Amino acid sequence: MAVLCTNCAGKLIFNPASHKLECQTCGSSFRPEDVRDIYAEAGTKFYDTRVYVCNHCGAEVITSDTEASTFCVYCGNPAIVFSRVSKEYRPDGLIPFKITKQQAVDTIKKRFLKNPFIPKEVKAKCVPDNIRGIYVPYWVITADFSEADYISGEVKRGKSTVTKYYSRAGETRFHNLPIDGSKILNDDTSLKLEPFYLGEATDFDEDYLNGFYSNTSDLGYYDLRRSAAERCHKLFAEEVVKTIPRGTRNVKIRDSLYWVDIHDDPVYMMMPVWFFTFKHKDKPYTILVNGQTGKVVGTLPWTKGRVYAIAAAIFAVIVAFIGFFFLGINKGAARHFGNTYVNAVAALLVTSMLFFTKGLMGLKRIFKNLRLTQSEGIFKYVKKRQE
Amino acid sequence: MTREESILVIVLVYGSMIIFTGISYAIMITYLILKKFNDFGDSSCKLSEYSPRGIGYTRMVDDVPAIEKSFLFSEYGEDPYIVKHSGIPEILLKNSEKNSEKEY
Repeated sequence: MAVLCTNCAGKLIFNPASHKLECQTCGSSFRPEDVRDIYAEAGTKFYDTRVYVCNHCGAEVITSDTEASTFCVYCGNPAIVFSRVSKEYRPDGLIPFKITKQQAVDTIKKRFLKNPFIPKEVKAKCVPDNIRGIYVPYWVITADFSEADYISGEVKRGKSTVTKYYSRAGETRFHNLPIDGSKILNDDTSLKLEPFYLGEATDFDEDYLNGFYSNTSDLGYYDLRRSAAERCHKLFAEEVVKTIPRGTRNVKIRDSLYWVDIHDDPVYMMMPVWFFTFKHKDKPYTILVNGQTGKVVGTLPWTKGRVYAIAAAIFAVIVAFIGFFFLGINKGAARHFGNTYVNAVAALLVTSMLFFTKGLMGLKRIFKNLRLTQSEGIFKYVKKRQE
Repeated sequence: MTREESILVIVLVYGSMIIFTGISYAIMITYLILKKFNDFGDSSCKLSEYSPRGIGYTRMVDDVPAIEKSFLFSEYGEDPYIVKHSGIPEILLKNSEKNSEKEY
């Protein structure tokens, strides 16, 4: 349970700016390591928490008794009910919040205010009441990893393109690799929150949780191995494709085999994250801010009319420009500018193939990120992993 | 093919080419706008941040025949690490039990 102020018995809240526990009643401040909970059992491996359950997405949100939960920090739904007082396993350490709530709001606002493509009603929702600080569980591991990859790539030979194959195998050791320890948060999202700098980590002390929410790890050992293997594979594969000779295009890893060995005693850590949750057109959105570095993660809805009007204008300009050439109205222009004009049109046509592929792939990625930001995605993800 | 038909074919071919180019540029610009203004936070961590010594390659062969895949995977197909169950934190073991109960 949360400790009380020794001067007035008021509740103490951790302030990331001063790095101290501050009394909300008399304003006294204390260093977390100087404050001891007289009710805490010495040397225990558990600590006391209050657990709230969201009836909408099924997430469990844990608070100290200084913070009452009024909406789900994951999906923004108010259908959250107090479930129980619970003893949870003590993490080995945590990175305390360094970014204050106001700084998190300012960081998000900075992105919002000068952005002409975010709907006004979304901008208006960026207020402190919609932002909650939550300690997200991670496992920090050291692991040996080995992988074999069968890779394909395309090489130009004269006028034709030939597909070539490559084999790569190797091993490496990962140190202090953070693995998201919660099933509620999508691994792709938690990956984007990195890096967390472990040099600023401290031993776990529940006083740091005062004023914040937290979640506990719900991964089993084999879940952790699977997550670790996938995480290591992503990092490994990114490096492996760099070894394919220059000039090879469309490099793809066709098939992979990989093995991971997590060293003894992975470290259970809490990482600080600000969750900005809001609803827009009946869809929930969650934007995350790394509570240590201030990095913002998420995809915002856009003013469709404005974005698509720009796209339509570009379409019209390009069509008019090339059409002008092809329709023969330009004979004078072509004569006047000579090869430059012809080359410009040829370049437009050639790059269109590249832009089409790259643009479509990029849009696909943005829509995927948008789905992740809309918490219904997290909801489905949780269900999928629970099945 | 009559002259009118030839003109029609040329107009169709060039017309679809022009429209395709316009669509391609519009898609690309839309992507760039959304990427810059509405999509935040790329994954920026590389292997070198967690593995200072990098990858020790045991095989690096270019331009291999298609059959190489079966050789490669038969050679590296077995888990090189001995599965051990020591040093696993209690919470991971408890969660495994809980999760398997749920599945059951």
